[in-house]
Amino acid sequence: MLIGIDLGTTNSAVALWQADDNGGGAAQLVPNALGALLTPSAVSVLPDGTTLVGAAALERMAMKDGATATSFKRFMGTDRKVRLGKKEFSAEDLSALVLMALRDDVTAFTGTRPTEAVITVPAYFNDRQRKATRRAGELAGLTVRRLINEPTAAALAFGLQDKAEREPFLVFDLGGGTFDVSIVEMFEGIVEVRASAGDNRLGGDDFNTALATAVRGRLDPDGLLSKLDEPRAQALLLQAAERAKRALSDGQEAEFAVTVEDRRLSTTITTSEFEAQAEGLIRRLRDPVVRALRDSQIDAASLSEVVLVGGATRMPVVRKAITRLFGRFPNSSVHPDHAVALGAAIQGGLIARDGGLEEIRITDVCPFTLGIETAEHSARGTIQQGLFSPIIERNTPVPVSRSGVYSTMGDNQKQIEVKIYQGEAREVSGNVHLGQIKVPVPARPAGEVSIDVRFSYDSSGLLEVDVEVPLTGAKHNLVIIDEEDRKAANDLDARRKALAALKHHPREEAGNQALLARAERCYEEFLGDVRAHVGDRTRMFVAALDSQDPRRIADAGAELNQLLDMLEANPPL
Amino acid sequence: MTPTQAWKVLGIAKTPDVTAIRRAYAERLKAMDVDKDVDGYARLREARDAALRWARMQAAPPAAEELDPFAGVTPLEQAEEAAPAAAEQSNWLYAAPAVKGEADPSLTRKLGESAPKLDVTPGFVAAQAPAEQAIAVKRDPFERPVLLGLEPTSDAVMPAWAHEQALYRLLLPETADDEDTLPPLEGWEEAMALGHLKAVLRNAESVSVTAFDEIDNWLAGILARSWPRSAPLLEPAAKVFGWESERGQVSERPSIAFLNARLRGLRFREKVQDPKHPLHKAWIELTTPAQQGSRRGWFVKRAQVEQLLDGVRKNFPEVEHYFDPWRVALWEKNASANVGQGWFSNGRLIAFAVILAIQVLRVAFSSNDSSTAPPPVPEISVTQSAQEKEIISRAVSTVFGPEITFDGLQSLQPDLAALFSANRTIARTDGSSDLAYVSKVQDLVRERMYATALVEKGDLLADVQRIRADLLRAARKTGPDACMAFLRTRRMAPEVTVPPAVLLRERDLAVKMLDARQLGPPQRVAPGTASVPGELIGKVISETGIPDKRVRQAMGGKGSDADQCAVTIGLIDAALGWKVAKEREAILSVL
Repeated sequence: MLIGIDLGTTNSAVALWQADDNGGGAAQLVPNALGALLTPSAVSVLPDGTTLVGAAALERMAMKDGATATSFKRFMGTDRKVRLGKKEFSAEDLSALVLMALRDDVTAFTGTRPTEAVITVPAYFNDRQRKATRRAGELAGLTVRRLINEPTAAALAFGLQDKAEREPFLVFDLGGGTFDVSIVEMFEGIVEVRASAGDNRLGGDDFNTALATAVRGRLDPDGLLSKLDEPRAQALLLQAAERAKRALSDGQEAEFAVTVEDRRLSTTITTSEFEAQAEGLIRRLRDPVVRALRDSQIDAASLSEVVLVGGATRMPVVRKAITRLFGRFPNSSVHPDHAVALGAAIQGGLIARDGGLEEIRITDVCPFTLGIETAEHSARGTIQQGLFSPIIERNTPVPVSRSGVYSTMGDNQKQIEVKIYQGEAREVSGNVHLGQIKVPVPARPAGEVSIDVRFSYDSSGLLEVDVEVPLTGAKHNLVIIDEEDRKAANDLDARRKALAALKHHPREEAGNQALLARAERCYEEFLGDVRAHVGDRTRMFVAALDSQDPRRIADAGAELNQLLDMLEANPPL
Repeated sequence: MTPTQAWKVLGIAKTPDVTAIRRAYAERLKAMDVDKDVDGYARLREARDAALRWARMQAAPPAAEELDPFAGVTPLEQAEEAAPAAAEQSNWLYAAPAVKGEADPSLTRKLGESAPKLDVTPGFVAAQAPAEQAIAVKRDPFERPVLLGLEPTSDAVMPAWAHEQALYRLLLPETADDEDTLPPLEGWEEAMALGHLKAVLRNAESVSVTAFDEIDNWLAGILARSWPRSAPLLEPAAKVFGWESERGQVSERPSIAFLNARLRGLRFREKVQDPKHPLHKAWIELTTPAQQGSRRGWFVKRAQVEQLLDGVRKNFPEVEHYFDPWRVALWEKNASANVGQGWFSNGRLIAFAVILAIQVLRVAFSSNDSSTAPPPVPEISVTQSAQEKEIISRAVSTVFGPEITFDGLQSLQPDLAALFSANRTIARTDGSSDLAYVSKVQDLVRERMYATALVEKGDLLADVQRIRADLLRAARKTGPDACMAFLRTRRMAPEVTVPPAVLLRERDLAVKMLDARQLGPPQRVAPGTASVPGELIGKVISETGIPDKRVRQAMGGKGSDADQCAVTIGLIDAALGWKVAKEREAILSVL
């Protein structure tokens, strides 16, 4: 079975294509063990070494010994590791754990274990980040049939709503940690991405951080928070910021409150304050939009729609900015949190040639410039090295094959080293190194030997480099697998085993576990009588769990749930 | 690809029907495996694009605007509506970047969430009748005397395109035939340009992203073209358009690359002005104009000068023009000779001397202080009523004493006379009091006396500084902030009472300078430093009773207002009593 997965910074979702009997079909989201369609991208390790994924893990984030990782998509494709409990995890490992949980949800939902997946990535993810995502899928035991760009997936979901022809429209995808803009056109069953641009360091998380930084001083004049260890203080603040941010979407002011070591700190934040804090972030939204429009040579006024995707587009401050940028109100007809996963499932259905889907072709672009390192003689007679010579310009439709001719710089040069880079900087040091190939050339005076470097970039994002030396007719070929990839391929099996050996929390207990974690968090958050009350109810629930009587568990759970709902809806001061 | 080939690739007959072209493209595309036939895919796309282009041309025959090099700029009708008289001129064409339907500010405001705020000085709006404002837009907005930091007309008065037009004219005046030799913006021009830029930027931030992009391109273009005249505008514009994020990118626009390089240069220049910068001394050395017989500064290390020269040539080549070529030549000639010789013999002296930077002064003279500019020729004689003349002549006699009349002033120093009457016009429209007017012109004369003294040096410098110390002392009685305000802005706070004896001495000196026609427009004073001997600092310490460390801090432009004020007065006093003439003069001319 082929599933579509939106592996997000804050939330992930999984969907599948389901054909119906009338020859039609629809993409459908799969609920998790708690019955929710979204699973927080959070992983937590309990003191006994058991891993928790999703809502339960998120609840533990700000607790003592929480050992929870969130927003790890932000360091995908880097060497950074986080320590949870006794083990260290890379972003790939953590993503694999989330993918496993989603996979198990599908197994529980359909009765069959999925083996293949389409996973979405931000359009502006570079090659290294894409490869890391692919590996995470493999680690979770899924064959990744294709990585598809998030805005493209959203465009698919949007376009298939009514199957109408569409003049170019713009997908504005502001997620938890990444920002993408794609310009897409639809006609005659073709989904054509005209240009993509983005900022893979900008998302809803940054708004939380801005809010937390702004408020911290007046929230906590006595510096209580600095007595905690910094990650925990930060986690408390960010959780409070998230709550305040949501409240600000509905009202003019919101309470920003945290409980630290039995003291409740609280302050009020207004919409205008938040807007002032977010100004710098809002400004950064404009740049990718301008770039995408410039590259596709489309006037903002001629866009047929501006489609909003990603949870962060719910913020009024963001909507306001979008309305100003485009001089019109955006279209919010797709569900901002579901569209990407649904689009991935549609793509999955297309690949599997499932029933109910007319043939749709998606043509995408490569959002980054690809090229090689060169050197030049400068005006002062020195040699300037490390220059980037583009071969495939950004936003070129893929698949594409382009070549460039380069020649030797030194007399009797015996070999040319072709170093391949991806990025927009004029100096290669600012770009991402993808690989290299050494090409022997006949010794001749400088400039007399030339080579043809051909880049072929296929529609699944695989880059192949062919170098030809016309003088000798020799041909060299390199399929880009970077160092990390080769290393990773070797120990992929070992890593898969290591992850499988982790004790996972049994899925059927996920609901109770999440409730327990939530009760524990509330216990830390509230004070006095309320706290004692929460403690009592929690103990009763634990006793019910110990009795293993399903009916008692359900009753005690419902009561506890009700209490927590009530407390969180109207926090007692 | 020719259109004929395109139809062949698409497999359809020539048609202007866009849907048919797209359908043919879709059919061909679905029939192929793009990954196996990359070239075929490229050809198909090319064919489709060519066919669509052709179809679009059939739909809309080449419009006149395509032949018009100014296509896309503000439509003619709008310009006519707003300024009938301007329509005949051709300048307006440069005014607005292509902003379709957005030249009308009311539309802009509908789109933007918040209407741009109008920050106008209330007195200004009240004083101007709407009719006059329209004229101000239509004609050259600078025909009015614009002197003391007047904000340019606000949005209420000028539509966005008019700001753009005004900015364009300021940066690239018609009078200049050769763009390479544009002089830097005068103080008042700079203030105006910054005001217009502010309006342009505010407008850019409130319009749609395409219009924003067009303003971005247009502004980058004229700033680059008018460089270095546009230097003061670069930083604010770059901030709004995020030009620096484009730096070093393959797709960096040429005008942005040009401006970014200069922006870095400007920043470096700013940083190196800080006395704490490791290359500060070298910078001062290289920027000080050399004359015949000049020698290398003895207090700079050769290595530092070389480091600065190399660094600037490598990283900020455009900064080199701030250096004095003769001075650079001094250091570059016979590089190996005299290395370290002067340095060693003077080593002991340095230990007791402090290099005093001319911080306060430099800031003041290069600021957008419009009073330092020669005013535009005012047309006063006709409009000025008898009463107005009375007020002006009263001001003249307050400043210069009863012997000098306005006519006398006009014959001796016409530009100063013009300044007197122009300021009167402004004061009247502003509704400010006669007293405020008198103190304003008094400040202007003081400023000119001081500026002239800095250039003339000699006894005049000592005389002016002596009076200045007394003025500072008087200001200090009111409070350290009044004293600092006078130091920084050369404006005397109204609540300060200057002793009559001091005023009398000042008046005499003013008349003397006026007779010598020394009260012309102030010249720009190059930054400079002087070394202050330890003994002199000792005097300041004992006079002021401020400890050594705080004195040094105050000399570096830091420390409390009271300290800085006291130390400046103390330094002037001590320097006036210093025996070595050369050192006395050097110190007095940086204070």
